Amino acid sequence: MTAYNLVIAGVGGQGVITASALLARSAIASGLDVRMYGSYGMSQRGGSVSAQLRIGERVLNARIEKGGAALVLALDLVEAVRWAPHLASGGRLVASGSLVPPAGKVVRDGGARHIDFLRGVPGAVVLDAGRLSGEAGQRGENAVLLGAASAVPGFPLGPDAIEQALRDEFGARSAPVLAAFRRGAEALK
Amino acid sequence: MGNTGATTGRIPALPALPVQSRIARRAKGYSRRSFTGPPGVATPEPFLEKAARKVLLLGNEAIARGLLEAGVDACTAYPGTPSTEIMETLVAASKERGHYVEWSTNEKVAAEVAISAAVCGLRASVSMKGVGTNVASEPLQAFTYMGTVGGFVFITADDPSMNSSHNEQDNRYFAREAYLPVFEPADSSEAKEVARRAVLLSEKWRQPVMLRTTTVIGHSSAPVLLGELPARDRKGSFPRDPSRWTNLPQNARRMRNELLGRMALIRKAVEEVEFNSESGTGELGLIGSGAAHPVAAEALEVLGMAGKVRLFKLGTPFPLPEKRLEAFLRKCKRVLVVEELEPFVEEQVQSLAHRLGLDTRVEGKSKIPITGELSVGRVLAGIGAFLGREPPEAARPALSAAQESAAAELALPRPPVLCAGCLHRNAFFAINLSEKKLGKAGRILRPSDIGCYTLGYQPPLNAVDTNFCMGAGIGIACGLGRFSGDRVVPQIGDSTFYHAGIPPLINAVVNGSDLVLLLLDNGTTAMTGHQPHPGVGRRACGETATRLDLERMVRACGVENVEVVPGWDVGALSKAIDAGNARKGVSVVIVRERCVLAVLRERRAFGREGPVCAVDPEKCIGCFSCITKFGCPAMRPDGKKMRIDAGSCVGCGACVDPSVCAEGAIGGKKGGLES
Repeated sequence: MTAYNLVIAGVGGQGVITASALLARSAIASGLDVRMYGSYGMSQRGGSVSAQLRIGERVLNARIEKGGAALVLALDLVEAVRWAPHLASGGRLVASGSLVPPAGKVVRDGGARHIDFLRGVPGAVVLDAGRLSGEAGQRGENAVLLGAASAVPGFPLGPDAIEQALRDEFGARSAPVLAAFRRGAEALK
Repeated sequence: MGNTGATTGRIPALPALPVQSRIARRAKGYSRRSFTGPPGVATPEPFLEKAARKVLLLGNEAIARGLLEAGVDACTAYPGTPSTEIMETLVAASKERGHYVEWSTNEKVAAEVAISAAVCGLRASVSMKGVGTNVASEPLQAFTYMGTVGGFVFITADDPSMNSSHNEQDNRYFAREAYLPVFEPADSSEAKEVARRAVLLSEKWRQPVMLRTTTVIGHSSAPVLLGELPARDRKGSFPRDPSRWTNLPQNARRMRNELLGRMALIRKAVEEVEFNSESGTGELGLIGSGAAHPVAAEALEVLGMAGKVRLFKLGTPFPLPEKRLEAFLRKCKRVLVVEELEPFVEEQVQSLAHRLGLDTRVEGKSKIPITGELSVGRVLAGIGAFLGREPPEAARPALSAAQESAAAELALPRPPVLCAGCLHRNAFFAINLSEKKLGKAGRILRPSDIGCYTLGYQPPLNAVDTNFCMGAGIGIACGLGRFSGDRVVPQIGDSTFYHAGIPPLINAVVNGSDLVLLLLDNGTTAMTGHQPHPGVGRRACGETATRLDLERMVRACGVENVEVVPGWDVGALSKAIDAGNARKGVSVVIVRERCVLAVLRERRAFGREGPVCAVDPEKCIGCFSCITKFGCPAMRPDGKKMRIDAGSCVGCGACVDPSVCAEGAIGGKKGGLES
């Protein structure tokens, strides 16, 4: 089994590293090998944040290259477009429809051009993750995207394993997170 | 503000901060996952979990765990990416494990403190970023002659691709020159065990050793199988032996011969080190060194050649396991060394083959890139050419070439910027104001230094002319004004000043340089995540410490003209620069304001909201000069007017100054950040 390659991308504070660490722990709990390579350091200063995750029976190295990702999850439209070239043919890209403008920049159309672009990418889908997580009573959108990932055919971790990891991570506060997760899974089915 | 040149004391020193760094906060019991268990019972951090468990660890956490499993007694460091999390983890674990931890003033002192522990028979580590090795070099070079008593690991986190460093310095060369045996983990999963064994082997060999990591090792996470955390019961002692620990030439000559004797034994001992291994068959061989090994192994899989080519996994690039490599070379007609950066292993193996009289042809950098981190995609062509195999068609991206270029255009860059409310922006803006006032009469050169403020280089401030290394802003300024005839206004942050800024400031005073130093005092080490420094009044675990007074420090360096200006007051800052420029000699302007990230963290913790500035649309003429000259990220163009984003503004009040908006359209409370 070759490694399943996944990229999670977003902006500082959106929970990219939290989400990918959660999947990595879930992979270990499922008896799989995993490597996670995240960006550190610049996130607090308005920078992009990304994590590359490789899951499989045996994973050799941590990097995912252009055209090599089976799945790209993006919490922001600009980041979705930035990481789209990493998507492999036949892969899926799931993006939140929200957009954080880079410092000092104005995106006058609120991301309409970005959504148009993603419509042309085979396997890409834009979710209204803000609405879905809001309905679940959850502020962050990362749980919605994890739910969507769990519904992608070929994704190596089952929904039960991820839900368990969410319970472990959020304890008593896990109810809205789990609700957001399930709405994300529903949205992609 | 007056420009009398007197220290007024009207601006008090910044309040001492609690320990704030991300992992260090956990040392005080704020576990990230503490709410998952029963109230008051914290789940142990993964790096403190029990033996035999397999947990996800960041490579740097894994290294720290390895040191803990070796029963390390004393750990020192100076923060620097990509090494910082090693020490943050050791700090967080110190309460439970009881080892000594210290954020030292700089890498040299950190090395000296760790050496003193090893000299007393304790197990010690010192960690730093790759370029920190340059600062730590001198005591390490002395220590390797003497040999150690307790296990001593010098950890350097090198940075191929320069993700967060200013060079691709390959510290394996330093190790060879200094006679430090080198251990290189192949990945973050192996890093724990390499760190543990490095401590124990150093003690056994009586020689300090280097653990070299790179960004992909330190900043990637992997499952790590934990081992036992041993009881620590060593007591340090120092049997007096001046001829052993004093390197006067008469002793150093003896030490050098003893060192060569130890190295001869170590050359034999590395043959047994388990991080070197061989697999595969055939007449062609690859040697994968450190982080390049898994890349080479995966490239062989992609080429369909796994197992059909010999692959040597090298974990000790110095000294080489020569007997094992000799056996490997004798089985191979040709060998390709796959390593990141310089041909360090390649040249040693070539020399070995020559010495042995072998016909084996050894290649490396003729086929493998010499710059940057290696990846499968970057080595595939070279390894394919070596094996005479066409690489398979590259993974097919979902995007067409046209879509890819469209993506490049839409993917707006997010370069790191100075935060809204950051004092550094105000300081740079003030320099630009002062230069403008000079008109054709002259210009101001702006040597900068290492820290967040190097971001003053970016537009719209464009206020950095040079940047070299820690402390060099002042050192370069000492001569730059003298030799160019221009005015110079260097800048340095408080942590960097304590690290390396004091000797060049003394030099400027004593040798009569004319300069105005902006000492940017935000009360913390901001760039690496708020570690304490000598001006903070806290130690690594939050204990109260003696706190140095920056004004008195500067005066003690012989500077007479010292002024403290609040960081929000751009007008006063510019006046202070003007006054300094009008004088001969050295003037120091201490620019004082807390790091905005620390202020925001406090506001969140206490549920407080700060004040916010706002634009009067009646007065705003839409010239946007506030954005194009000052450039606070809270300022947003909104149609033909400017708007301040209330969610981003922290209410520092700097932009209320008429120098930012001549129309007086920005309203808000002056007076800086409040928490």
